[in-house]
Formats: sequence, C-alpha cells, structure tokens
Amino acid sequence: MKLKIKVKHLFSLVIALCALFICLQLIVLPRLEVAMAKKHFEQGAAGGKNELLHAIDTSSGDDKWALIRQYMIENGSESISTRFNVIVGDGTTYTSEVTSSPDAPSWTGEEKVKYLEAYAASGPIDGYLVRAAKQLALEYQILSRPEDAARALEQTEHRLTSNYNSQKRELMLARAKIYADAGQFETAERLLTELSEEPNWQNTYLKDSIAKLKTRIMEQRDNSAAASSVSGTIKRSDGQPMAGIGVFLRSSKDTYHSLVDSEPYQTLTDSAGSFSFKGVAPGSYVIYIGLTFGQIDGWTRPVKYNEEWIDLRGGENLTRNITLQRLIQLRSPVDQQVITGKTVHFEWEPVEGAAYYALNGTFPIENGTIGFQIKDHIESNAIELPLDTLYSVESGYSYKKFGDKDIPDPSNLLGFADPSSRFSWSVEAYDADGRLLTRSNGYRLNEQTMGRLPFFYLKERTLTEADQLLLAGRMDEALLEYQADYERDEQDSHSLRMIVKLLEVKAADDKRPLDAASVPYLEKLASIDETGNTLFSLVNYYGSIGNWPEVDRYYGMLKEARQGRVESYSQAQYGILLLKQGRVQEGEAELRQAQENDPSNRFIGSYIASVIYSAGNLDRAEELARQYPERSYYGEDNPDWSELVHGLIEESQGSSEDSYFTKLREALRVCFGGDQKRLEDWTADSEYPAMKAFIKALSKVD
Amino acid sequence: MRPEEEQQFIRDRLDEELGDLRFLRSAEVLDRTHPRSLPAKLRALWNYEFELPLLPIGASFAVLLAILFVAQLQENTDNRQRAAVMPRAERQLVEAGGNTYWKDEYEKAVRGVEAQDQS
Repeated sequence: MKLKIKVKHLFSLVIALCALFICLQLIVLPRLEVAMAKKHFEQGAAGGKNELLHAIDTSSGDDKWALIRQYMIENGSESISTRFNVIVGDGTTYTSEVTSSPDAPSWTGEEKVKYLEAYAASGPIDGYLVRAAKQLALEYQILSRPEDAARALEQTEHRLTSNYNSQKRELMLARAKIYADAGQFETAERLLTELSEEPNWQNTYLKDSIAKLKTRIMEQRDNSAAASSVSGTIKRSDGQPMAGIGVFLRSSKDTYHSLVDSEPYQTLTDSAGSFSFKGVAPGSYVIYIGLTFGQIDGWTRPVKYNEEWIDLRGGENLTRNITLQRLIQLRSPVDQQVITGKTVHFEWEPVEGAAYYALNGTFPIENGTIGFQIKDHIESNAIELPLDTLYSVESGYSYKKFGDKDIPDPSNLLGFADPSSRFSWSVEAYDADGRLLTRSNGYRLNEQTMGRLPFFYLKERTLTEADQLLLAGRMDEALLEYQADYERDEQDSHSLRMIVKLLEVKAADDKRPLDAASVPYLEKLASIDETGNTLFSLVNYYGSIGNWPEVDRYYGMLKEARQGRVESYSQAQYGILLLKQGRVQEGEAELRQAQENDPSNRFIGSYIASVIYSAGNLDRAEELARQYPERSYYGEDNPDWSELVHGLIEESQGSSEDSYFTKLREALRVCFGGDQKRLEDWTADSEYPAMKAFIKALSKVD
Repeated sequence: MRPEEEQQFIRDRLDEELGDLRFLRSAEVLDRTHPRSLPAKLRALWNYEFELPLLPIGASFAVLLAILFVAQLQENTDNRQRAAVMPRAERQLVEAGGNTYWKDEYEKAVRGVEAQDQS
C-alpha cells in the first residue's frame, strides 16, 4: 500500500504539526505543569515542592496569587502553636487533626518569606492579605527579625482599605505584641493607646486582648529584676540537633488545657536545635514541645508526669536540654502470639545505660485501653513471669452498658484471666537514679518504626461458670458462684481473687470502705499472693478501725513484697496513719521518703506538718514548702503551703513564741487524730487565723 | 512497406493534418516538462508528487506511540507506588497497644499476623 502525496501538501502538514507543538508548549503544557506540580506537591512526591515553586515563579497575576494563597497561606498558621502534628508535654501527648493534605511538604521560613512578602506587597486586598501579613510576621519573628515582622504588619495595615478596619486593628495589636516581646515597651504601649482610643467599635475579644497585653507589659516592666530566662537545646540521642521544633513554656495554670495561641512563651528551635525564653515571669512551668509526625516517628521524649516542673522565683537563668530517644523494640510475646503455658517469657531489646526496666500492660476497653504496671525494677531485658503474677495485677476498670445499666466491664475485672481478651504490653527503661531513659510506646508510623505488634493472648485457662455469669453482666450471681467454688476448693486462687475484686468493686461503687465480712477473703489472698497487691487494702482497712498492730504487720509485709521500695502513695498513707497514732517522728521519716519519690508533692502538707510538730522549726518548713510546691490537677487550686507557713511565721512573731508553738502543736495533734468533731471545736475556739488556715488545708490532704 | 517508409508516411500525414495548428505556449510547456530557470525548478519541486510506502511509516509510528505509551504507563505506576508508600490524605491515626499507628498500616499488619496464625 502506498500513499501519493505532493511535496506542498507534505510541507503544509509539517507546518501544521509544528504550530500545534508550539501551541502545546506555550499554552497547554504550562497549565499541565502547574496541575502536575500541584498534584505532586499534595502527594508529597519528591521534587513536588520545587515544581510548585517553579510554577509560582513562572505564573503571574491572579494565577500566581491563587497558587500562593492555596498552597502557602491556607495551610499556613499565624501562630507557632498550630504548626505541629504532635504536642508532647510531661508524659502527656496529643495529636492535632490531620490536615486535608497531610503529606504536602512544609515550607521553610526562607521560602515562605519570599512569597508572602510578594503577596503582602501586591496581592489582592482581602482576608488572605491579613493572614499573609500575620504569617510573614511570624516567620520573621522565628528568624529573630522582629523589625521586619513589625514592618510587614505595618505595610499591610497601610494597604488595607477602610472596609477592613477591624483587621487593621488586629494587625496593629499583633505589632504591639511583637514590640512587647522585643522589650520595646514604649512603642508597644503607644500602639495600644492608639488602638484603645479609636471610637465606635465593639470587639470584646480584641478589647480583652489589648487589656491582657497592657497588663503583661506592666508586669514585665515592674518585675524586670524578677524576670528569669530558660534556654536549652533539643536533639536526638544520635546527636542530630532538632531544628524547627516548637517549644512552649507553659504555666501550671495552662497545662490542664490544650495549647492555645494566647500563652505567652512560644518559640521554635534554631538550626542548632537551641531555644531560649527571656523575661519569664516567676511561676511554675513545664516545657512542651511540638513536632511533626516525621520528627516523632520512632522516637520518644523520655519524661514522666510531674517530673519536669520548672519553678522560677525570679532572676534565674536555667538550662533545660531535651534529648529524644529511640523507641525500644519488643521481642516476645508479639504479633498476637497465643500463650497456653504456665509462664510468659517477656523479652525486649536492651537499652544502653539502663539499670532496670518496668513492665507495663494494657487491657482493651471499648474506646481504648486501661494501662497498669505488671512488674517494676526488672534488672535484665527479659523475664519469665508465672501466670499467677499476671492474674494478680491490679488495674482500674471501665464501665460497660448491660441493658440500660452501666456496670464495671467484666472483662477488665477478669483481667489476664479472660482468654478472649487481646492484651498488650510495653516497657520503660530507667537509669540507676530512676530517671526514665526511653520506652517502647510511641508513634510508629512506617514499616521500619512499626516493629512487632505488642499483642498477645493468654489461653491457659477456660472460663468457669462464675466467669460466664460475670461476663454476662450478672455480678451478684457471679460473686455467689465464686464463693461457692472457693468453699468447695480452698486452693482455687482464681475464685478467691475474683471474690476480693468484686467485693472491692462493690465497696467502691457504694462509696464505702471494705466491710469486716470481706476481710477474711483479703487475708487469705494476702497469704498466697506473692505480688503483695492486696496488702495495702488491709493496711487501709485496719487503719480505718484503728487496729495499729495489724497496720504495722501488713505494712511490713508490703515492704517485704516490694523489696523495700513501697509506692510513694502507700508509704505516705502509712506515714499519715503513724501521725494519727501520735508516732510523729516515725511518720515524718515515712513521709520524707515518700516525698522523695513523689514528683506531684501531693503529701507535702502532711510532711511539713510533721516537721513543724517534731522540730518546731517554721523556717525549715517554709523552705520545704518552697522546694516542693504541691502540683495542681486540672487547674484545681491547691494550697500554697509556703504562703500558709509564712502566715504561721508572721503570726508567731506577733505573740509569745512559746505559747504560740504549744497551741500550734495542740492543733496539729487534733488534726493528725482525724476526729472531725474535735477539729471543728478547735476551729471555733482558735483565735489565730493563719493557724486556722494551715490546719484547714492540712485536714484536706489525701 | 518497410518500417522506415511507414514512419515517413505517418510523419507526412501528421504534418499535413496538423499543418494549420500552432502551439502558442510551447515555451511554457517545455518549461514545465524540462524546467531550466530557478523558480521553475522550485515550482516543479513544490508540485512533485511522490509515493510513500504506508506500511513502514505506519509501523514506525506505531512503535513510537508504543514507546511513548509505555513511558507514560511507567510514570503512572511509579506515582501510584509512591502514593502507596506516602501517607494519603484520607489517612487516620489509631491508638493500639499504647502505640500510635496509621490505621491502614496497622490493620494491614494485624491481618498479616492473623493470616500467619491460620496458616
């Protein structure tokens, strides 16, 4: 087959093809390129970022502004606090919502500055312009260029038309904040005055912010001598400095809610991973850090709740370095292994420098898990645990709906004895000083960091009839059945354990202490249970009825079971029971030891009361109160013990010291005794307000 | 008649019959059939008709298209593979056993160990 064609026709054909090609190159391909760049950027493909930058550079006019708006301003943030995926505090971690394109690479400060600067200077005037200006100012602040930040805001203020008056004010306020942060209080105050003078506007949020900033400036100026600084470096344990990490110095008043913009101390680490806060007001703070998923994946910040407090009294320059550690990989049991033997072999990779490990477990609940400790102070990276140890662990429980009633989740009560439950476990590594080195729990977001799944099943036992009644939500019948089973066979430790657990749950549900009828079961369980987990309930029970020899006996057994390392809560409670008996010096010793192991300083009030009683030394008590401030929970107002003791000191100076101390000791004795009636009588009679305040706070310590 | 004679005869007849006819644009025709000047040569080239063998040309076009298609396909699968490795927009986090995983990867891993248990 052949085609006849003239040269002139062939030539026209070639010309037409060329024209088409040129048209493609000039018009269609650039559009296609922009579309591809967008797609690649959103998918997080390699080079997607450069493609998009190229697309922005080569486009012009509205197209260019649209690209900057869509890919920089919309996903950008006007404050540091909203830039991160994960915020890690002292043992608390929370994840922010995943954005619509979580994989899009983030812009560096330099990249953003260039394009935002162009947008702020010539972009269309609308709400995005205001956001662009704020984001630009933030980037400049992060780059330690506050003048440029203020300039960018001011420039935009001038561009905004009168339709945007309220946005203008927002920018002005932001500018005042920048000056305040930079210590240029006069300029800041001038702006604030200008803002307040503007007539006819109703924006309570803005007014409120202005007032807050004014107060802050005043405080900072008045307390410039009291201001402290906190600085440090954030790196990984492999030595790599962590640049661009959010650092938030959060006041004790703020730690019970999630991070908000208005918290004053927020910054980012520089390229060497360093950060610093200057001009910090006196108070108690915790450092939170903000990371992206990529930065936290496979790593952990080894901190425990309440162990990271920074107490600033004024004029201090503190350094706090943070080192992220690799997560521990678990070896056995993993990947939903089914265990049917009499022991479980736990093993994990060893951690360099670890003196001991703590083994933790979880039970599944409807929307999560319940955590508890299985064993502490394990000196090697493996341990063979008898199932009895697992069956005896103490844990909390959640509630589950049966019909229209909420009852304690039977599966949680059965714990490791429920063969259908899927359990998980984790470890923490500690150094010789008891400081957490690293843990196995954390963010595992890719194949390398995911490791083995920490789940296993225990199917050594089968459910008894009593267990089945319990699982069916028939708790009372289950208890009777367990009691019958135990009567038939006194070796039936499972039934005994379940009886004790159900009796304790019932008592807790009725908000009453354990009754005398429960005690024989508890005592029998205590005699066979090597974990010692029942002993503290007995100490508590005998303490409540004032049977001191039994209190001492069971506490002694608990100490033995724990090899001398009793949990600080139990030890402090025992100390308080000793105070109740008038054995103040012994109580003081227990409370002192408990205090050393309790970062929350929950029992500091009882401890200093015992010090005041036995040594009569208020200055020492005040020093202790300042050293160990009682930490607050969920923003609750806890007593300020140093203020209370200071009150005592002042009050004692006004009266004859000897008689004041006699009266104080008497009051303490009444309070230690715990008799509400006597305490009320004393309060009604006493003529010393500071002493009354102290005793009132002390009576509430628990 | 001998062939020469016959030829002569025909020639004479032709001369006689066409004696009154005159070719007015003979030069033009000659120029077209045997171009001598440059424009004439170019025009001849412009109108030159040649034959293209459809089969080889068609085959080479087909090969070219096939190569382009394969290249495109490869790029696409690359993208898809990358998309499979990279987190996707609809990804969700899940907390399990004290760890935080991407939900899809976690479910895949669980399915993986469950399949292993059954085999």
